[in-house]
Amino acid sequence: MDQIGSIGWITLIASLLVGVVLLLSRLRDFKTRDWAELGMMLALAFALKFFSFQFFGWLRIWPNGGAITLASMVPIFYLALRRGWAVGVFAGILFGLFDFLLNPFFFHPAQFLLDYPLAFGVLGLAGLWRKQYILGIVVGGLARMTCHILSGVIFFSSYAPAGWNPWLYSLAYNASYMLPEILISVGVMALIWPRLRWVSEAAH
Amino acid sequence: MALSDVVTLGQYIPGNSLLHRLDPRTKFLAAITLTILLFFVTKITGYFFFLVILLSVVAASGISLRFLLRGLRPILFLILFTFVVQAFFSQEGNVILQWGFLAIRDAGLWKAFFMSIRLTLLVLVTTLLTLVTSPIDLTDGLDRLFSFLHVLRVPVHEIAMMMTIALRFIPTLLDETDTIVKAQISRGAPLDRGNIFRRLRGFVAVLIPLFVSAFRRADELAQAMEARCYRGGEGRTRMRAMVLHWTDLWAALAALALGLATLSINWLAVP
Repeated sequence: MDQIGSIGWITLIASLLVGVVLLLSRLRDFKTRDWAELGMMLALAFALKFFSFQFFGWLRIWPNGGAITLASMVPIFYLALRRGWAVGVFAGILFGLFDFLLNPFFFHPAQFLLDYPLAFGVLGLAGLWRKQYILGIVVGGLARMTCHILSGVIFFSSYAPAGWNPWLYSLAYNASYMLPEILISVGVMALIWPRLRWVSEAAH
Repeated sequence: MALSDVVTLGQYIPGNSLLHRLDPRTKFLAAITLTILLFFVTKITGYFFFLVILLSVVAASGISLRFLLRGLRPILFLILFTFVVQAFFSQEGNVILQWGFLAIRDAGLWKAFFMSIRLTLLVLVTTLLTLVTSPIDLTDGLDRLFSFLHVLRVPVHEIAMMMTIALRFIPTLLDETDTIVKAQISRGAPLDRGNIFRRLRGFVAVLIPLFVSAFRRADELAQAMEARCYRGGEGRTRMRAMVLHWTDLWAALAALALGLATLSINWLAVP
């Protein structure tokens, strides 16, 4: 990661900023009701996350960051499928930033970007496949896993000796909680999305 | 006892020290500056100087060391891993201990020690920020700090308002989850027995009412806000206005001085 150089960094950060501004321009016509729903869905995602720590305390075996939760990604997937990928990505980024504010874990700027705003932001990509929503959730989940794997590689390339293969370890570590997490989200969404869509359309 | 009384949001420890009373904007900017400066420190003397000053600030703010160490828990594994990997697999330096094909080398141990202290300091700075600033203050501060993005038509105020809503409703929805889980168990939902698949299936009966109630709450909240003529951030005043005091200026200068002193010690020091 250190080989990127300053020009690479500036390009990366600039393109991220442009992406965020483009994303925000899609939220121009948000009404108070929409903001309230977005806030409530974020609260629900956190409530599910905290509840699962209470529910299965023994699941907190992953020492840094990762955890299997009781479908805490589902509210973000719901927003992505119901309101489109832009809202989903936006909600994911905010979830990530908020997660960082509550329990910060930081050792490298790129690790922060990858583990928090980007990892959860890409969950919203599920909204690109609104018809085949299972595919969308799998893609979103795998995209999040990729972000965590990259951040793991950054850690190992700066903290492990030369010759150590960072990719393999990072893959094994992150897949160990992300794959169950994706499976839970797919299972739960397959069961609730048809009903949830009906409920939310009736509410509007 | 309600579930929300047991689960803590974030790491904030209430208090009335100088650090607690500082403006969240000052604290946020100081933490960011110090974190960035830490990346330019390359010698162990610099790290030690920084650590000593940081710990004296913590002692002065009356925060028990226990809480600070709790923030380090997530990196304990990383530190352990760094030590093991560096000690056994590093190819530089002299062998101190040989045991079969495993050899511990002094250069590896030294490198592991160096990296651990750097990792610890990075995490300590961010942990300290969240220990002395409540999430709601931090959200408010970020709202004010980034309000200039309003020029780019970024809905900064709306985002901050939404974050505040989320913060306010996390405990409520947590309690609601608990209540619905108990209600469904009492009706025979297989949430506390059977294999993991049965339990997850049973959890659907919790999620649907939970989502419906969250939609309803969002509706009621938006109606209540609009009934009170809420119309976004334009010209809106605050109940608790944020004012920068002289202490904020002194604190910012002190943080800057700490950063510069660390850098110059790092530049002058030999190891």
